[in-house]
Amino acid sequence: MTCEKYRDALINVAAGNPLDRKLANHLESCTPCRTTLEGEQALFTAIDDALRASMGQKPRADFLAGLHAQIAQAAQTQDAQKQSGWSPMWAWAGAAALALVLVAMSHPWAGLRRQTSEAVHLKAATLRVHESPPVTQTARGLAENLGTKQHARIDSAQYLPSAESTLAKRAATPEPEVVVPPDEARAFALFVARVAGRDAMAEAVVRPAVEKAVERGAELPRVPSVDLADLQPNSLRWNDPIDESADSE
Amino acid sequence: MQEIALIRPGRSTDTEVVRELEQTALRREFEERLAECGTLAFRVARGVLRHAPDAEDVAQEAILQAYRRFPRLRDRSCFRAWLVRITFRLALDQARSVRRRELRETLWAVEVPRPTAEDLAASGEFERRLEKAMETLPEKSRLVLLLSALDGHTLGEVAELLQVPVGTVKSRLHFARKRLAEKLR
Repeated sequence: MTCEKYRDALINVAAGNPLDRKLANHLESCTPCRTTLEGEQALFTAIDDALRASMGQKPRADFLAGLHAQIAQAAQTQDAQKQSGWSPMWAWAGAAALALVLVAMSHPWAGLRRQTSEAVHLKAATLRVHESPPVTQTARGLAENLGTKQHARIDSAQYLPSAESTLAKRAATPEPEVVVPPDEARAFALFVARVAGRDAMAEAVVRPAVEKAVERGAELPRVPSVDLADLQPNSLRWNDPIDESADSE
Repeated sequence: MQEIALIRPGRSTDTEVVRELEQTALRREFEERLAECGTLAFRVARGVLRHAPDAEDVAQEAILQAYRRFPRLRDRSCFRAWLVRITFRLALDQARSVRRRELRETLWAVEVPRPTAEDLAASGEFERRLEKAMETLPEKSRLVLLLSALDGHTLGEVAELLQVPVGTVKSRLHFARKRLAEKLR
């Protein structure tokens, strides 16, 4: 259709643009385009009229009076707030202070959490020690336990407080400690049990020096000899003082 | 024994009096401007909302906001433009919330066939369609369209009100009217 190229120009004319000569000549000879232009002009007029009608509407008669009353009320509220010392800035300052307090409170909590986690690590460490009891068990205590036919078991409460207290106890104890690898703990326990009751030399090895002074020229106590074969774990199996049935319990 | 009162009479009172006088003067100035701009705020809100009671509420809220911020307004000659912008923004917010509510309530409605422009112009449906078409306009073009439709407002006055060049107002107005016609055609 040849009139299609004038369509945008027609809309622009209806919207208020000036009519150029070429389009005017075409409109003189083209009835459909004239009809289109008239329709578009009617549409734009309807839009403008509707908008003017909408924007020309007046508010209620008491609208302005109501506004003045509202403003007077707002002014009174502002005055009351100023007299009472209240200000929106106070609200912001309060919120900021609250945020600071929360941040400050979060730090001790973080420290507490750190301490707690450290305590857990220490507890885990001491529990690991506890799980391999012979490692830090004193020779005498272990021998006594074995002597009563009890399994070498260390009370966890002895180790739980902290690693430092464990070290302090270790330093304060008068009995020497024997560090034994876990896989040799059983053999050591058997050895101590073996010599605890009857071997004075072994007793002398695992106990500190005699408290009382030995007089010069006095005869030293005779120490019975120890057969090395007796110290072998395999040979001790026949006289195993540990009740194996207690293990299964 | 004689007591001496260490009072510096009138110092704080003078400050308070000066402050009160300033506030009274500000309030009077605002109310004078309100007399000429109150109706304008209502019309802008009415143009966006198409509902007089809602427009009154929005205009009232806008004027109260303007009153609270009035002491901080540097250039008092821009008061009309400033109030128009506040009102237009609040009215748009209100219109959006109304539209959301209507959308929730009419989701089930079936769309009816579109009538022709002549039919629409002849019926009250035209305004409703115009309202919907205006919602699709960019905010700047929409505000220009509304202010241009105000009685007695020339393009130059609209340009002054919006603090933009007249050419900008013309192009925005042309674009807005064509867009509306396209939607209503």
